[in-house]
Amino acid sequence: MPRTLRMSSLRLAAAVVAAFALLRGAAAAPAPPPPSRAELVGLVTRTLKSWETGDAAAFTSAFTDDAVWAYPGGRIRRGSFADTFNGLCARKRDIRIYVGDFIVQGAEFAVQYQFAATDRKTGRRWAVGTGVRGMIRDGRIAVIKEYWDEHIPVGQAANTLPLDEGEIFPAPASVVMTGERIN
Amino acid sequence: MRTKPNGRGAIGVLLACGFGLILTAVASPAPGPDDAATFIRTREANRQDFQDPDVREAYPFGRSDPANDKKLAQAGAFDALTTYDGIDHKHFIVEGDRYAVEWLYHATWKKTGNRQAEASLCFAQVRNQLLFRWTEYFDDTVGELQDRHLLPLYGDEKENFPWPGPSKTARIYRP
Repeated sequence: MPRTLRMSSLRLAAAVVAAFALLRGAAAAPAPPPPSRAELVGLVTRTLKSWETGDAAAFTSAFTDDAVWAYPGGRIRRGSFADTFNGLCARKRDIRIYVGDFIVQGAEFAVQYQFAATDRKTGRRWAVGTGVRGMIRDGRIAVIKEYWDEHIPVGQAANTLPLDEGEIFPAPASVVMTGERIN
Repeated sequence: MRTKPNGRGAIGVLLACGFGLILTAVASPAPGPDDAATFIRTREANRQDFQDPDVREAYPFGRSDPANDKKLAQAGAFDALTTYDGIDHKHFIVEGDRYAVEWLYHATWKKTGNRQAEASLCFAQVRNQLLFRWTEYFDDTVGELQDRHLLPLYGDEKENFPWPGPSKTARIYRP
């Protein structure tokens, strides 16, 4: 057998063995267990509540290095989280976070909360019901997606909508649906 | 390619299924009347036909109930501005008698003929296999910006997001 061919065969055999070893390793490595419900609820609640103290480090450290944070207006990666957090804290004061009940399935969760804050310049306050869907990985938040209607804070700041702070709904709790905006 | 199992394989599969069924029956009690997973499997596709008479709803437009819904329907409020084109890309999270569903809602603006697609996150509670609570979060400005061609419709993304991407229009986090 020519030397080159024998060497190729040896390399091929080594590659096959290595590939099998990798496959076995991948198959054998157990997937990390999802967090307990209490752990998940505790982590997400603490993270949301960190807005009240303006603790950017506490907020950002709750997320995985490749985390995605999506909201009406954008979608950002972990590297921009601190700037976004500090940017809001520079514009708002007296932040209050009201957290509702969680729905948890494995590592996924959904929760409703209300984000209330006062604008430092105008003194106007808004309190916005927010729906969140997210996912936990390795004990940290990997995805957080927030849903709210931008009409609500804009209307509250303009005094055309009530605040109803502390009651978690998509629109202020005292607003009854009329036909004006349904689409 | 799938192939039919041979005789021994089929017996093995049957035995495994039988054991699986027995184990499942022993390990988990039958779902109760408020089980959200059962509702999703059997009724969610036609959820508007399975509402509790005391259902309480909440949207970015305000809160509602069957009496208010009836009044609004009689006034033609539900299709005054847009025509409904359907919902897709549903993703569920289920726990006990409650579930959350993220989806993409499609409609067409009547005035302009422009389409809109808004991602929503809905929270539901089931009682006696009827919808008892319904709360829906979405940014209604998305559809308005799409009507003015300031935001794209959602592309081929497999996952829903509150704001379509990639888009040139962006907003700061909370005004």
